Amino acid sequence: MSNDKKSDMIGFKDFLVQQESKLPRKNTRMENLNHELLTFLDRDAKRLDKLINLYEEKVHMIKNYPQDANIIVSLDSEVISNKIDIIDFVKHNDCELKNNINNVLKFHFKAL
Amino acid sequence: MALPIFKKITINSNQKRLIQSQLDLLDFGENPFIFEMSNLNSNHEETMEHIENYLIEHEINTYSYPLFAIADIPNYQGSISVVSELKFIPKFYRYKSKQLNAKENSKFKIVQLKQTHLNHLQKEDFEPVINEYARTHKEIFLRHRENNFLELLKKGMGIHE
Repeated sequence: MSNDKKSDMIGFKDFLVQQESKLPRKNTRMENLNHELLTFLDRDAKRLDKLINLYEEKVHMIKNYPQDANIIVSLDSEVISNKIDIIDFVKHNDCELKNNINNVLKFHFKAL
Repeated sequence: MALPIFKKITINSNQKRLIQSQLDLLDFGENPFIFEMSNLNSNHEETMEHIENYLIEHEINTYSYPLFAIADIPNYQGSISVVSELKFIPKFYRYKSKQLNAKENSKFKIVQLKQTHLNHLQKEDFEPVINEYARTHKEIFLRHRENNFLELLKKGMGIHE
C-alpha cells in the first residue's frame, strides 16, 4: 500500500471506530424508548382525573338531579302489578296450581 | 415525593402503639401501600382493626390510592383489600423506582398536581352522597330481583299479559 493510500485509511479507520463505539449507545437509547414508566404515569394521571371527575362533577349531578326515587317508584308499581296478576290467576277456579295444592292438602289431611 | 408505586410495609407488631408509630411515617394519598402481616403469628384481625381505626381517627385519604394487606382473613370487608398472597395484588402499581427522564418528570409533576387536588377535596362533600347512591342502588337491585322472580313465576304459570 502506498503512503497516500495509508494516509487515506487513517481517517476511514477513525470513522469505523466511531461507528462501533456508537452501537452500545444505540442500545441504551432503545431501552429508554420503552416508555413503560411514562405510560404508567400517563395512565395514573388519567385515573386520578376520573376520580376527581367522580368526586366533583358526578357527585354534584347525583346530588342535584337524583333519579333513584323515580326508578324505585316505577319498580314498586311493576312488582305490585305482577303480584296482582299472579294472585288473580291463582284465585281462578281451574288454576293448575290451586288444584295441585288442593290435592296435596287432601292427600295429607284425608283422615281429618 | 416518590413515584406512585407500591410500597411494602412490614407490620412487625400487634400492639396498637407500635402500629401507629409505623403508620405515622407513611404518605397516604401519594402511594398505594401493601401491609405485610405474614410475619405476625398473632391474629391478623386485631392488627387490621388497629390499622382501620388509625385510618378513621386520622381521616386518612384512602380514595386516591388503594391499600392492600397480605393476611389470613377470608372475606374481609373494609377499606383495605385483603389478599392471601402477593401475587393476587394488581400489577398496575408494580414498578421499580428509577431516575426519571425529562418527559417522565413532567408527567410525574402532573400526577402530583392531581394528587394534591384529590387530597384537598373535602370528604364530607362527596362521601354521604356516594353512600346514599350506593344504598338506593342496592334497593333498586333488590326490587329488580323480586320483579325478575315474579316475571319468571308468571312465565312458568303461563300468565300472559
